[in-house]
Amino acid sequence: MTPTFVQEAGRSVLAILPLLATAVLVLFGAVPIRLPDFEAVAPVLSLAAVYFFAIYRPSLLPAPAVFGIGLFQDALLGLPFGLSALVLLGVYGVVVGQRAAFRGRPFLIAWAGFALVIPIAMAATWAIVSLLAGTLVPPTAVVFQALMTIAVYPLVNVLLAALARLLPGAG
Amino acid sequence: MRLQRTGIVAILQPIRALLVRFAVISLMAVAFALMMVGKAEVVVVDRTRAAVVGAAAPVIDALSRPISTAVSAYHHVAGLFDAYAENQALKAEIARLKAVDQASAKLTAENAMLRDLTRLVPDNPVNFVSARVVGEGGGPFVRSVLINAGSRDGVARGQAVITGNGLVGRLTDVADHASRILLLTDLNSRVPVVIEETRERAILAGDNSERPSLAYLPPDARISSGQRVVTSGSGGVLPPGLPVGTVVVGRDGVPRVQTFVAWNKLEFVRIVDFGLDDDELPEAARPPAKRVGGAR
Repeated sequence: MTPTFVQEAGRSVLAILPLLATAVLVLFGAVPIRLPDFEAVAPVLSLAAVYFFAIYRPSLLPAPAVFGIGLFQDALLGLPFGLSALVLLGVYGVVVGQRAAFRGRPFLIAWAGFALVIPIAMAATWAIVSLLAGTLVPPTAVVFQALMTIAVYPLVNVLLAALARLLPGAG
Repeated sequence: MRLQRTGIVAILQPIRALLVRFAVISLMAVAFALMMVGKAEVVVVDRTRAAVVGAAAPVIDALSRPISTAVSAYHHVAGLFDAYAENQALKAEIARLKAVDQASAKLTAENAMLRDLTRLVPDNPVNFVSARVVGEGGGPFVRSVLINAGSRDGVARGQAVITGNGLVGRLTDVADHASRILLLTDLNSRVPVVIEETRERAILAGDNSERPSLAYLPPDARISSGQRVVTSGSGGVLPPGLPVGTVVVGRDGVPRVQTFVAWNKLEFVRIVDFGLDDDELPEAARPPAKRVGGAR
């Protein structure tokens, strides 16, 4: 066990941390919350994570990782297989192209951008699911889920920023 | 700024951006293709789903423990405030049920006697597997829950899931020790039912709302709010007579069903094996391979 080996092993463990953290956020989306008179619509935390990495450190979560996270979410939540992968990659692609507009600007700008991207992503998801099912999915819960997702973004941002600081290299 | 950079960076930067764009677009194409293929029921996709459900269920279960502790603490405190009113309601309920109990005892005896008289062939023996709900499905788009019982526990795809109150749904993705229940309320859920009072048949069609609708009712059906709806057993996939809910006719005139199962309180369920084996059914009565009952 040479130090170089340990260092390299350590580096590769660190390299998959962003992917793992995002996967854990997806898992949280499936945790049941049973409150009386409350139809739990969990926020889509994977969207928040992908948005964060696309702006600040795209190298930590490359496109294939986003793809994998999407398929994982589809299989876990029982969504049409490939749907989340498609939507997450769409968000990732658009945001990576615009990241210069957000870097070095106040957090509120990034949050506002998120509040702009999420309704579009959710509307796209809604349209695809409705098309596949051949009927319109009730939109109320979708709107509520979009609002929940926008509301929790600062929390995800804080957690992932702390994680990103641990990792070497500026994206 | 750009001029100050070394030549190699100046060349690599746009190439890298191009590569990222290429990767994103090609992977989106793959995802889209997967979605189309997945709709056509592919074994590999089904296996992948089941494998992910099997691997993730214990992790979700562990993650949910602190949350469920907090929620049950909340229920406990909230319950203290409601104790008096609840007590009164329960006393009234007991008084009502005593009468029902007596009537039912009389009917049971009578039923047994009549069965004896007519030598009715008894129903298949029923096997139960109990399971706990460990995870929830895809928010507004999919109505499903994950449970901690799978094929190794003796359950199989397509089997009915019930609680003490009524029908919950059917099993879809089944792993070794975890499975997914497609709830009655899901878009893809179709269950043949019958209005108990009038014996009129319909299909209970989920649409992701809390109350599934009654489709394919005969045009002259006598539908009114409060009628009980039970499974009809048509198609041989589910046994007849499982309680489902009561009819609610909304302002739009669409008959819907208020299910007996409260969707935000699902904790324990029973998977029922009625011995309705696929092999014993005629070809036409078999459920579709995927999303059982998911006629579109």
